[in-house]
Amino acid sequence: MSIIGPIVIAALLLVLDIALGGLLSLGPVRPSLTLPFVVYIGLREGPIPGTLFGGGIGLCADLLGALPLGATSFIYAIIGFMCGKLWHDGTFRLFWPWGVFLGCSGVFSAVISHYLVSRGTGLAFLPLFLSSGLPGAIYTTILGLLWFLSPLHRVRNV
Amino acid sequence: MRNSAPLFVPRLDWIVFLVTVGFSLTLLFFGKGRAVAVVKRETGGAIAYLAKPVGLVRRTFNLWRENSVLRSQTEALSLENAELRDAALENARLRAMLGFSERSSLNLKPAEVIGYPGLQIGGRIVIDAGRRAGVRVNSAVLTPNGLVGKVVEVSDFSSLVQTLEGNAYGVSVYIERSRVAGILRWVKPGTWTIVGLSTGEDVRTGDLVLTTGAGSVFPKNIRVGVVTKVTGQTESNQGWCRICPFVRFESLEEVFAVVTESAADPAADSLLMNGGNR
Repeated sequence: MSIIGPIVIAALLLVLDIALGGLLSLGPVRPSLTLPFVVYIGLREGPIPGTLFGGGIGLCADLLGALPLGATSFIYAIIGFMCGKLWHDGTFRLFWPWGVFLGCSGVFSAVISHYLVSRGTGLAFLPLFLSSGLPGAIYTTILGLLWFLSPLHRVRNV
Repeated sequence: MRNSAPLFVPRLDWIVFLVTVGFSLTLLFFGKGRAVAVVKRETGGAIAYLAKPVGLVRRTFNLWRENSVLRSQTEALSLENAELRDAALENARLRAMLGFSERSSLNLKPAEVIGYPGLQIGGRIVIDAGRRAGVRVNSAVLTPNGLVGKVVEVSDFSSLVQTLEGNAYGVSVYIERSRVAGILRWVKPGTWTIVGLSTGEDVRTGDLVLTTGAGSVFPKNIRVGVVTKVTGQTESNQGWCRICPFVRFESLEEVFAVVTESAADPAADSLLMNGGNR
């Protein structure tokens, strides 16, 4: 797999996440457009590309002021690595592994990011996580599962 | 001959993982130096600038709704404008009689919102006005509806704004009717309060909340919001009244950054940054 394609897609998703993420938000709940791609790269390409892409995309998100510098990079690198380690035989096209991995990754990402936000704001972690983090992870997972409705997915499986 | 395996076999994937995570943690814990801040500011500014054209899509989505709202507002505002013109003339006459000096008008730089980085509850937006436009760290950001927040990071062509969402700072405010002052705080998504009010102060539902101007970051008398609920009971750090801001932070498109004379000092950013790191 050429490295140019994923880099272009990652850059595009990052720009869309920053510019249009607010349009998709429901109150305090906002999906991540970059997280499904990190999970996808991890599942498809293995732990090393997953780690590097996750760390790189996370670093770019942090440079835009999403979280303290290094935080998203740390979260995404772990997600990319774990997805690559746990499932590296190309069966990511099945419905359940993709959904399960994406859901778990979303919850993991929400736990760490909302813990950091709660520490920064001095608010209780649990209400913040339950009102924004967990619904955000579910929202991201639902958006990620839309992949199975796309014509591209069907053609590849044939 | 015994076939022995080494105790530790270096695996490339684990090495890459540990190096990446180590690098991220190093940035997280120690990445607060001036050099890192400069790299973050400039790179973030460049990426935000690339994201600017995509904002046109968002603007298109809101165009029809905005048009109908503006039409209804135009009629009401034209009537209000006539009344205000009379009031302004009367005010000028009275101030002259009392010997008051002219109120200084704010120097506003218009800017478009070009990004919403991070979590929704983080309350951060990126605007397309930066150092070149005279925006500086701590410049207040507002809309005709009310206060939005303040600039926390500035690059040449863009700025990162921390809105009133997220408990990053408090804003000194007062109730317009009773002149009771306190600190506006974000409590949780969609909920603000005023802390520092003694129980029993004269606060009623519907009271207008304005900035006091204390702290020199936010100009005085900027509209912030309205009191929506008075519980009468003090909860720990949550005050006893609820405030609804006039600004809808999730759908901001155009804002104004307040540029003051002191903020035009090019050394102001570095002084603030050095001070913040001490």
